Amino acid sequence: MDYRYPPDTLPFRREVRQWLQDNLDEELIGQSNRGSLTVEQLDALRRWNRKLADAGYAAISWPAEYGGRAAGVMEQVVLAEEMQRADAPSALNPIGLANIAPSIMTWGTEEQKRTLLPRMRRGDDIWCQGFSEPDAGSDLASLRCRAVFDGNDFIVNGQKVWNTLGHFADYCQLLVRTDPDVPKHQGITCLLVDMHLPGITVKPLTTLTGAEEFAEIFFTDVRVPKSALLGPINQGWQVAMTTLSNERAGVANLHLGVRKKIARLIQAAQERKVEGKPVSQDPVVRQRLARTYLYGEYQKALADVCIAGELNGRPPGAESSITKQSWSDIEHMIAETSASVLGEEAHRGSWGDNRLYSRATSIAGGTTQINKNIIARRVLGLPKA
Amino acid sequence: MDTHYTAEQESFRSTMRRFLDDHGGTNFTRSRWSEPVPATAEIWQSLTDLGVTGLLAPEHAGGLAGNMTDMGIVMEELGRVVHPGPCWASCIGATSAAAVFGLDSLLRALTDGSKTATLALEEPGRSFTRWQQAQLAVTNDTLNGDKIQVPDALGATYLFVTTDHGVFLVPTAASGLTITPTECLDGSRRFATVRFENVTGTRLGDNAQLAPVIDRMLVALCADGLGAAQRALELAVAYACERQQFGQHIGSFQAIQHLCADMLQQLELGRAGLHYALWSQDAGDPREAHRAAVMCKAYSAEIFPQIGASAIQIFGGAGFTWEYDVQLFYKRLLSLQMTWGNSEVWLEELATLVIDVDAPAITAEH
Repeated sequence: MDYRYPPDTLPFRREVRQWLQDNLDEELIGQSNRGSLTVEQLDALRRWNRKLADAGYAAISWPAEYGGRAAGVMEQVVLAEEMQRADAPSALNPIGLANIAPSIMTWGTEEQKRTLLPRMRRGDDIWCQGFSEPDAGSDLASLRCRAVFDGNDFIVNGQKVWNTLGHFADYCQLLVRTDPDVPKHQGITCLLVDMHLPGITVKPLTTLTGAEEFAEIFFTDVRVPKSALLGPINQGWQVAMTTLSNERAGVANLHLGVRKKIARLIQAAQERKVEGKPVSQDPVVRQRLARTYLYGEYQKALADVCIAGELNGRPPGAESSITKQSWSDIEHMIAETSASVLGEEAHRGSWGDNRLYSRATSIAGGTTQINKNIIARRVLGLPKA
Repeated sequence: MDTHYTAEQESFRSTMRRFLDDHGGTNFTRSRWSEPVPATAEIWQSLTDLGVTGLLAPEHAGGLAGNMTDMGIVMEELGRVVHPGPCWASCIGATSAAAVFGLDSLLRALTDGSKTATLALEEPGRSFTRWQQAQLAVTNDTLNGDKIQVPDALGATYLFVTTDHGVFLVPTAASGLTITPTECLDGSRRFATVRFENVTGTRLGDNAQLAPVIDRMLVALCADGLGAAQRALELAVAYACERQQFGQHIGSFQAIQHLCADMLQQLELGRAGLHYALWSQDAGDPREAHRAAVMCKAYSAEIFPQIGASAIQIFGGAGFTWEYDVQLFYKRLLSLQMTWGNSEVWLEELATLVIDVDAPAITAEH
């Protein structure tokens, strides 16, 4: 066992830290690319994305032929740590870079790779995913948005929902039903749809925080050209599930985010006084805060296991399967602890937002309950009903 | 960077597991449940032959000069069969303490298995976390007072005793020393109250010198807990795959599946924190070693017993019987909860480390 980072990560860390110091503008520090964005904020984030891309930091895990640097897991972790340390916004297409690009690299035509990937990397095009539907959430494969191929075009009809950045998106990785007469996973096709095509209507979806972060997308007789097909017809499920082999570094962002919030809570507990005494001296608050801190640190320990697993060429184990839900548990814990520490201030500004937003962490990207089903069957080997 | 054990360490784990299974596994523990001194001469000799007694002892004392990650394997495996006996107190505690104070002849005797020793730290009415501020009174090298929760005192030859004048070495045969076993629901562990009435001892040094030893012991105790919790989960999953009700395996019910998934999450988080804490004990930064040990005990003491409790729940009525082993693990984990400070006192200690500081939040990565 050795928890120290390999020494050869140090030059890269220095390089990134220096670059961020020289290039990150004051007004971008701490700018979130989550929640409601104005057109101006989006433009600023887009300029920042281009800067990151041109310096080679926007998609470092990508192979060099697509403008990445084929970065290994440690470089990705170091970049994430330095970005977090500098409070720098991440690239605009987090879902595109991490989830859509691997499918394009694996299944795409040369034309698709050449035209789409560089613009995605620079944030010139904003991408969304069109997966979920009003009646296809956890049971995603039951999706019903239809596409009929007429020899030249796919004619798409239906509705998608929960499309992050959908109302700004230029492209959509869309899953459609192309064969309704086969088992549900086998009749799905993946299309890379230009969001400016006629017949597409996008309606921002207001979340319970009041932010317009997602969209609903409606397709009415949209003619999507054949060239938009990604991978074989009716194999869209496999296409969409394609991931990069070096994806485990992403777990670092989870603990970096929560530990930063916990640090802010500790500071707030020292500063806020009740009855003339800092809240940090209240025995009940201390217990909650210390427990929250502990779980934040354990999320890091868990991430280290995932990262070391990838670094040493082991397949993902039980640690990878629980990372998302243990993170979501901590987000919930932070939300509750913030109320203990901050009192009524916990319901204002970014803390109020955080408290509400924490509910999404156990829903988005697979609910905790669905995760538990998967863990029970695949990791623990419990029988199917 | 790696968070896993090496292939060599894993092969040591297999040896250890085979050895304990060959010696009856949990049946050995059951056979010694009510014995005042649970270790037999035979098993202690075998553990000595295996290198466990000398694992942490330096080479010049005949030991293997192993580290705490090695010892973590031993403890996890002992926990898997709720093995009784003074390994934790003697092979980790007393051996590390003897090394701190340079007691070479004692180290040799601990290593060759001819003697065991333990640490007497906790005092009535005090929080364990304040162990350095011991109040047991010493005048002219004569000790007077009580120590409680002393592990494996019966059978030990020496005690390391914290006092208001530092650490003393006291033979258990000393006149004026009385050992009274404490009642405990966990028959796989032994604790005692030790009374000192004008007992003469030898001063070794300051209480603070034992700090790294205590951190090691806390982490080792949690490693034992990890092994016990892991085994409890394995038993529960196996039972859920075998037991049928309503014409199907109970493991196919979502309620059981989610309970098992929760247990796995609790276990794997604990393992991640524990392995980091084990490594920290060897890594040469005492402050970090302490922070990691405190977090480890605070987490394990609260969460591992919940895994044991959930395992009993999955066994249903069978889990509430003496016959099924799952109860043994629950009891062992309840011992972990209570021994040397519960979760609340260690969270308070963690608060002093990370909340009562000028620049909070240890978030800097290098």
